[in-house]
Amino acid sequence: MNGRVTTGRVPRGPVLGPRPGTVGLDAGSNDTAAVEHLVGLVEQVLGGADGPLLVSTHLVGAPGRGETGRHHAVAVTAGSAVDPVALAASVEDALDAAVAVTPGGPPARTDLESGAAAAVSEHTARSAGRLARFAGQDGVERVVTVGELLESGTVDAVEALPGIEVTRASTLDLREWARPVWRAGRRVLSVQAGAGGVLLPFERRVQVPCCHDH
Amino acid sequence: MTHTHTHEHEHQHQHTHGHEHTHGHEHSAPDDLTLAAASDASDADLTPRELSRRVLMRAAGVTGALTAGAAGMSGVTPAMAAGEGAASRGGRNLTWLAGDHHIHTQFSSDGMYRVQDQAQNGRAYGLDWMVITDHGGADHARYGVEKVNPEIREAREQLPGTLVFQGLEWNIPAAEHGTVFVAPGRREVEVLKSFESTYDGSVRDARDGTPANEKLAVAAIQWLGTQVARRRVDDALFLANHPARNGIDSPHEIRAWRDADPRIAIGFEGAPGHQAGGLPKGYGPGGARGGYGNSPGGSSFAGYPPESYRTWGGFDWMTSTVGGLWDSLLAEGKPWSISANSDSHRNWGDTSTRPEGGFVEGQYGDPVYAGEIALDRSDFWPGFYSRTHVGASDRSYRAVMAGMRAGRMWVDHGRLVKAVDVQVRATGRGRSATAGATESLGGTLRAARGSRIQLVLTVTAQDLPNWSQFVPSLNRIDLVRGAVDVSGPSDRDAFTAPDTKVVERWDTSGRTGTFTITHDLGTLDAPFYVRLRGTDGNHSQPGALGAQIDAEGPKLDVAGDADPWVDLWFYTNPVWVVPTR
Repeated sequence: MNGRVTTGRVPRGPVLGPRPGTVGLDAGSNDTAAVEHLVGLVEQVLGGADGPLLVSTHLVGAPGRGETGRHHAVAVTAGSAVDPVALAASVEDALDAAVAVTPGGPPARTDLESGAAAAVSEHTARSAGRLARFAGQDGVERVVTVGELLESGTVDAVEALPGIEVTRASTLDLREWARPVWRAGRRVLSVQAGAGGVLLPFERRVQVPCCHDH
Repeated sequence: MTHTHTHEHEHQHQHTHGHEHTHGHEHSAPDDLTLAAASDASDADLTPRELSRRVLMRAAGVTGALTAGAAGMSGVTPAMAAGEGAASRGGRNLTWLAGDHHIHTQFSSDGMYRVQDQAQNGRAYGLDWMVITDHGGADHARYGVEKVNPEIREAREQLPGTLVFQGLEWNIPAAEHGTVFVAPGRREVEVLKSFESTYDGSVRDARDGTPANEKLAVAAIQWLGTQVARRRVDDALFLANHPARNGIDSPHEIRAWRDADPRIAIGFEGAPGHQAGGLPKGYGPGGARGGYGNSPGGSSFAGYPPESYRTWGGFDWMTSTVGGLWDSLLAEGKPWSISANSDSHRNWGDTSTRPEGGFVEGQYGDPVYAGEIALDRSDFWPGFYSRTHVGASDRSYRAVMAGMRAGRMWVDHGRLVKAVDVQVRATGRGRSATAGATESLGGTLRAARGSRIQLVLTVTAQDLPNWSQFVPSLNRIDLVRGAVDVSGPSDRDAFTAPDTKVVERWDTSGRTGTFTITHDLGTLDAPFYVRLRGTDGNHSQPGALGAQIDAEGPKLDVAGDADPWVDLWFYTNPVWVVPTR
């Protein structure tokens, strides 16, 4: 692919097992807006804990559905141990919908439980998933150069759509947000060209819904 | 063959024989023309009426494979690839009619205009035919599909010579939207309403990408074919809209729709509407051209790359990628057409707005004067920017639909070119029976193996200003060519055609009037297809599959900075060429 700029650092090795503070949540979120809402709830509940949260979202399947019938689940690693029962209660209350929290949550629908477990698995292996909360996020969600972003240690590579020139001096407008994705252990931020030669995140904060009001 | 015969035979609906996917479907009661033309029905199988029809058709020299060609784009069938069947006929006398099959009105919850507003603007901007396609859904099925009909019939009366079809924008189960429309008639509302109630993904809560929902979409297309076969409507067509926008039209779903009934499912939007979406802030919405600004979601096909979610020179990635998804369908020898439409909901530069009162019982009240100009809207009026040109035997509803089914289509933006005529012909020394045979867009030239094949491209440069008041310049034309393998892909989710590439580029800058380019396509030894593309040449980058496939393809549109008027393209449908023994 054109326009890929990476750091020279060796990627971190995979973590071998779930850390005590890692849980998955699945509320059957159908789109990114819904799963971002879930991320926000998780942050409200766990945000006061020690250390920054690492929250990722994952596309997970459901039994009996086709390969394109997936939804979004969440995995979170907090600085200290998470009480899955209390987390499930808070989120269920706020969403007024069923949610599975695993491991350790109360019994839930099996499809949601397997979604939550799949999210934990990808999160732990750093194999896939998009990062919604990560250490250093506030420092990069502004107008930065690609070089500054890489030096911040929050992402390992910036990758542009075909035909777009990216150098470490390229300007990147991340005031909307930054949602890097894990790919084989590395954190990759996809970008696209925007007006005035400034790069924008490929994933925009506002997704155009189906049958929207134009 | 006389003009009259051509017309008569074009609106029959016949299976293409030797086409494996059209056999075994439950199209009950095929019409008598179909039976009469069917070469595999013996005279004894036919009723006296059908038999007399067949005798008439024989007298006119029409049987079997020839009528299959007249009934629709036939592509390359396995039988043809084996060298069987007759040679091609000559060209036809056609009227090229410009249109738009994707237009919303006040009967869409995200629309606002009267049918009359859309129809009279479309006509003023040069369209000959339009399809009204309000969104399917509970309100539309209950109210809109009926309430829009008298408005459409009134527009037909008020605008004689302008063809206004009733259709709907179907929420394809498990997938994107699509245009479904029928030929006018007593049951146009009844059939559309029944279709929507039974098969709309929103009405049926069938939007998720499950196997069951994918099957519902296939059943819907077959049901439409049955309505035509039973003569409940004279004709019906389906084209998928904005196919790559959200990555949810997977390659196997598109193939499944096509194979469900190739008479009904004929293509997709090569270019989506909402072309004003990328006009920069200051005089436009500063968003994504075509409304293509999303990233993959849970229902997206995982194989589609990020760049498929954006437009390229205003065109959908499935079409704009040389050797991409569209070409992968054509390389199977299967018909699949492209169109370009406005998707008009609320238009850029308009000074009207919705009235008070909201969307009640499936509609908004009539638009009212706003006292201000709307520069934050993404759509153009029908005909203002996007046009789908159809070669029709006459100016009639049935002839437009027949022309679309036959694949006689090309599309352009901003009136880039006035006329395009593509002829592919076999040349020879007169020894071969097929020497001199010619075919045009959507056609399949069948010529003796070893014939010399020639492309004759006749272009009329634009001499009229477009609706931004400048005369566009067609500065380059590209020829795309690919091999056809009728054995089809082993992978129904394939979306590349490895053999297809741009094989010739012509600098046409400064050319005026009508000019002809003749190009040698070599000696015929295996099936292939060609298609054409042209541009003002303002924006380019190597194609999505690399510069060796497409050195100067369309540019990936920049978010918030894609003025459509300075990036104009035309694309034609293919012409196929098959050797006979």
